[in-house]
Amino acid sequence: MTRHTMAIDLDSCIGCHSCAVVCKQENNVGLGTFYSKVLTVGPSGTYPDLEMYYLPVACQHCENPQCVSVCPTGASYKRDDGIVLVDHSKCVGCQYCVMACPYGVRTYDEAKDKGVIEKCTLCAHLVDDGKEPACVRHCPGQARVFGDADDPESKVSKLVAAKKTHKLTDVGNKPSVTFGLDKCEWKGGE
Amino acid sequence: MAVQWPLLIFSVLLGASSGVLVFLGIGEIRGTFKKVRFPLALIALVLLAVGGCASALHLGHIDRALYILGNVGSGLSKELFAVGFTGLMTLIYVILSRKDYPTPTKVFGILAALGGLVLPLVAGASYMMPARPAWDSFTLPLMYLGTGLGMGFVLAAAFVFAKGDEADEKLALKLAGIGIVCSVAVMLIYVVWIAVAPYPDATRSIARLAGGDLAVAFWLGVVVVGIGCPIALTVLARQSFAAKPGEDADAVGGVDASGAATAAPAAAAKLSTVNALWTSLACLVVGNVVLRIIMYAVATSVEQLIY
Amino acid sequence: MTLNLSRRAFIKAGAVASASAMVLGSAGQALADEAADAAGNVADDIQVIPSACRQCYGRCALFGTVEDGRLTKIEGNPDLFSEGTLCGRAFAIPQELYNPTRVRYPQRRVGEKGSGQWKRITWDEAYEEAAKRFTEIGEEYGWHTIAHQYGTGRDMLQFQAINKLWLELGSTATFGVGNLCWVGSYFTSQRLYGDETQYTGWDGNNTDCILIWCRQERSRGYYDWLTVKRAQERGAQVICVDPRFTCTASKADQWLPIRPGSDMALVLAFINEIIHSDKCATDFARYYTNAPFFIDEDGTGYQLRQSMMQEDGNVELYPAWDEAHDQLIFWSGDWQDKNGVGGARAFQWLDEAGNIVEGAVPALTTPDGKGREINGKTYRTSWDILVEHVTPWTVERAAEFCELDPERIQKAIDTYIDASPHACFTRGQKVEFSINTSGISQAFTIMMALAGNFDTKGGQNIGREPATGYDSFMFDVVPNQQGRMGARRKQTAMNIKKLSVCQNTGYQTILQADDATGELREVTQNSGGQVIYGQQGGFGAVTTKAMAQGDPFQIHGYWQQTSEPILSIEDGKETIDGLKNLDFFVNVDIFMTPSGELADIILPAAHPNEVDRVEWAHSGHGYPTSHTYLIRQPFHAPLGEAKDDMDICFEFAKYMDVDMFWKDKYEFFDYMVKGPATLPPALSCASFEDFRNRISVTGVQMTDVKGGKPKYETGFMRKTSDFRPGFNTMYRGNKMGSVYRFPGTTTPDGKVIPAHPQSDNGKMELWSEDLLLYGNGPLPMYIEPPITKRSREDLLEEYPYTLITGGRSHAFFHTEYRNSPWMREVHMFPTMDINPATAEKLGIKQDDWCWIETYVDRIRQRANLTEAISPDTIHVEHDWWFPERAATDDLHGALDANCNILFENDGPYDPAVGTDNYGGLCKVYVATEGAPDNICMTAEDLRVFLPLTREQLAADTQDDGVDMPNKGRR
Repeated sequence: MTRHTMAIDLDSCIGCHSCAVVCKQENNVGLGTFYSKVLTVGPSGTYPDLEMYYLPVACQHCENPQCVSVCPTGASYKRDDGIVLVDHSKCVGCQYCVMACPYGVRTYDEAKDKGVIEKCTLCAHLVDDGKEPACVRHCPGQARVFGDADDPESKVSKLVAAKKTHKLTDVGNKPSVTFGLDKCEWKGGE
Repeated sequence: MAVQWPLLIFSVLLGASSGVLVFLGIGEIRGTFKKVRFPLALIALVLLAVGGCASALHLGHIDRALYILGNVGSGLSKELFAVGFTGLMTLIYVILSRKDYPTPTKVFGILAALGGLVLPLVAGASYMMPARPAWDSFTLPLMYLGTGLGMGFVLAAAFVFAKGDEADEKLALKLAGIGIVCSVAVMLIYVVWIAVAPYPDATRSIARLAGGDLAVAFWLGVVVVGIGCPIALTVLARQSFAAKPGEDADAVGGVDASGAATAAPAAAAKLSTVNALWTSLACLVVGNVVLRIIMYAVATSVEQLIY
Repeated sequence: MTLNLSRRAFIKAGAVASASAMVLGSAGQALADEAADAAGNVADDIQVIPSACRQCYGRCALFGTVEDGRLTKIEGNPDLFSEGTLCGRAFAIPQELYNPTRVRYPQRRVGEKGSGQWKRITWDEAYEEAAKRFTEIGEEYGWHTIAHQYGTGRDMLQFQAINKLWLELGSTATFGVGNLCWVGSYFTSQRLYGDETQYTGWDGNNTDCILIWCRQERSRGYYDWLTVKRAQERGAQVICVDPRFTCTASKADQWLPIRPGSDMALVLAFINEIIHSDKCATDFARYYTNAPFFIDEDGTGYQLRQSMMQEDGNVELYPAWDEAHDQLIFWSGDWQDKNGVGGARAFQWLDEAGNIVEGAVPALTTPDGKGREINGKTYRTSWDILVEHVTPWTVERAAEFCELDPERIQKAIDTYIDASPHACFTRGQKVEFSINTSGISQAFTIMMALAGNFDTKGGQNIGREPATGYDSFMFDVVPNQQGRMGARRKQTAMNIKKLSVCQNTGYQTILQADDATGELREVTQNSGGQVIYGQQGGFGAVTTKAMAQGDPFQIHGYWQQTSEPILSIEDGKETIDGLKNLDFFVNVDIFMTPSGELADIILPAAHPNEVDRVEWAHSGHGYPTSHTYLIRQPFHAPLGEAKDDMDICFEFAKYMDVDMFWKDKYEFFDYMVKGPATLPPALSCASFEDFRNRISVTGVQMTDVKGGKPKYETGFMRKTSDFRPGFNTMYRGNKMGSVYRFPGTTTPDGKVIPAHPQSDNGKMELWSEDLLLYGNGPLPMYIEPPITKRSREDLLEEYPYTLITGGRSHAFFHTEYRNSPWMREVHMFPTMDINPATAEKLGIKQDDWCWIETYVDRIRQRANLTEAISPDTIHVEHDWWFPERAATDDLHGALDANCNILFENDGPYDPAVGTDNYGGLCKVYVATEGAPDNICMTAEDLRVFLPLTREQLAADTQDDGVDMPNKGRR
């Protein structure tokens, strides 16, 4: 089975927000909406004994996506390769998926007057073209890797094998995106 | 999470509607409330319809509303089925209740009541999401049901007093009391859930209700208006009712009203009972709205990361 | 010259790139594949154009997708040094190109200054009026009363054209930008040994230690982080010196949270520990620096020459003591063979008879460091003096000055020394924002040199190398070499003392630390009226004073090109006064700006991605970036009637009868990419068009070519083609256009500056005669900045917090991008960093708008509560303005959050390059008024800056100026 997903090396991420911006270009994301955003975690501790890392967040392309199970129309769906998408032509804009997503990475896009849900697509249109997501390709820290989590030779599997890894809080949804972090203490849930 | 007003209004109206249907269903079983069943059923239908319309305002694409049946496993699809079933049963019941087809009326009345019992549970269950610990519990659908019974029973009872048979008043008042008890119980149970929900966080803590930014809403809106007042008013209604000449005060919950009912004329007593019930309903509605505002306020995600 | 890279042409370009894979040393084939792939998947009207980003100093390689003549997409080019990575600013390029605030047609102001009322005029009208008015001013008041100004040095070719045009016209004054950035370090290392290292040339690829001094990973050329990260993964230690817990600090292995402005104490401790360690590069000091030279301490104060010892002595002979033969020996600096000791004897040690001493071992020290008696006089070596100077600067003293844990300092120093000679150093500009910028740069240079890191693997590549083509400065050097300098420029240079705005500066009181005791004491610097490197004079404060107050003379005319001094210069309010005083002011820019609103004429500049350029790496980067030329070619023609900055200079030069030497920019580009005849053919391009096809050329490192030998041994540091071992020292001394204090001048305290012999002797200076002449003194001294807790205790009660400014933001580049919806969206507000404990004490909550007030003025920024900053320090962002506010609304909000209005401009300044002080003391309190009026508060508000559509652009011909989004949204 192919499980396309991303792994992010937080030790390499410099919090530059390039991913947030290139995503806007690649996916024509409107003002006020972000598919991907970068959070600053910390600095924690007391000056001058501090730790800090940046946490880029977007859809975690969960293995058991709550957004898909609550979606009344089937507009939110998970592809065979693991990418979770929204079929805009079916979306009624009920926003239950927004409520069901544990990470707040879905947006009800009123700005573009679309009345549908927007979120990271893992650049499925590029993936289907044999390319990597735009944020992966351009990441100045080369912190992001894309690949098949079921293929031990993929960049994702290699990063996961090489580092201490973490996931965002899992409430049964099984997020697929992995974060590598060796240098600091992980401050998120597990 | 921001208050989703269309959904909030829907849930309150749906609750009241369901409560009325259950009230009528009990009446069908007991063979009472014949005089009021048509207008009350109609009210229930209107409440459900208005609520449904309100909830539709929540959708980005009303034009695609029928797509909602696309994923029957989803809470919202089930809710739509439940609304559809209940609405249909109620509609038939409304039509039948104008005529005298005893058995079919009774059957559809009971079916509609069944809808009234199931619908709040289904509607509440659609909010049970692991991502939002304050919602992820059976106490939420229970709260929808119980508060619905409270509002619906009190509404219906008040209506019985206003327009119904005098003979039905006693049962109506009794049901109003039961409704209030249910309502109070589920509200408290839900508040307890907020206190004990997993993934504790300040944004969804009981402290926010007890002494934080939601304290006024909670203590005034929920405890005083939503719980205290309806209890007091229902007690008052029963006292007035008990004081009605010709009624055995002790029969109604054993309240000793002998001192209070010295020379009050029956009409006045009745009026005060009706007023107490209507006021109680108003308080219940306010309390339910405020409780749902709180319900949204504490519905923070386990990790709200981007927005 | 038009660029119309059709689909076929692009494939061709890709193929050529492939053929040049040898030169690229990287995956040329991948580029070709990419090209074929890109071309194969696009329609005929879609072009994918390889070019470069100029949104910061990194100039990352990118591709632009152009559909029907409009840029629709930016992507990284994976085959060059930036490895396909790009930061957010690159993706916002289309938002700049089609920005509603962009000026697309020449404009003439028709209302009061600052009224925002403009009418479109033709280029001819603009040029004719400018020529007429500038000529009138030049003829009536003198050409030196016309100031000129350029922006950052990112586009060095644009800078060269502006510079040449106005130097030829006799302009002397500029606000400058270099003195805030890079010039201090460049000037200093150039004077010390003839090239630069401080930002550039750190060999992170092979290093065991990277010392990063006040530099953010996210400031410029983010790909440098890849080098740092890979070094760390290899086991190299990264040490970060910064008062703030920046991204760099968070990634570093060691962090030294230094007290702002105290850097010199720490560097001196580094040097002290290095000098007293067995790693000290004493042989280097002995044979390649002036360390063994005697100093005429009791006489001229200069390095001793034979001519100072005896009447018939030679001015090119520098005495030293030969340990091998116990005799006095003399270094001959006479490489130009003008004083009889040149030819084969130049750069050799000679005996008293003038014969070459084989195997001479010049002594670094004198007996006990107390001096050696020669002809009845006692002289110490410059090494003696240096050692005496740094020895009291112990780790403990540095800890006290820098408010650092001594153990942290010791560990950092040990790490650096242990890793040397495979330790490298890189710095940010902030250390430069001080009145001691040349001093600190001297200290850094000494530190790197004595740790033995010059031109080593993993150390510092110490010079720009003849790896590819010519550098941009040849634009001006070639005509001057060929005697084509104009008469007015010559006259101006010769009379610079009278014509410079700096003529009254250079006498100033500073607070210096006494070496022996470490106590701060007041000292008067007497530089004797200095003039700043590079330009014929001028820096922010003095030019402001000349404009605003007529001191030392009134400036009447002003040509400003892509710069914003109201924001970038201290005391922006006085800058406004000065600009309002002008008789005539031409502004060349892409956008409507605060200072532009005070101009008489605005000329529309093309965007960097609408013009042709040869991109040469600037500061900050190591190999291969430092050795790569890259094409920057247009995605399309400039919008409207906008023109390339360089073309504007060339065109206006014709109106002013200025001889630019080069016919046009392409003639220089051709010369540049062809390079010297000695360049290996693979690195030389036949022409600019050839270069365009190749996209980029990457050279080789000279140490690689010369068997790992450092350039100072192989003669490759010399820019004189004599290939003698040693350094290039031709920049020292009095030179036309870079004049400093004049021998023979009497300073206000009555001291006569002794005549100064030139010191072009091939030796690197540690103890520096050149810096002595500039007024800094010969050694890097600890100077307490003028407004700190230690220098201004009187202010502490009212202004208890240390204020620092100018930390870099990932979203902006100085004043740029405030009109970019995407960049503003990821960084909406000017942000003040404050420690949570301090904030709690002051009742400040996260995101509160606060006033930050100094004794000069106050501004508003939004609070960010963070442990990243010490509880006694406040950091505010720089260069904030609000293009969404109207011209009449404080010049587009140029004073609301602009940190530079918090500082006065009355000096003291760095004596060599004029840098002012940009830090101080402040108080902070909640702004009950909230945010400044009429600024964008939400992402929705930013819609006013969304790119104009093709149709909107066509419809708006800007007949009444630029339609600025000036309706407030509060």
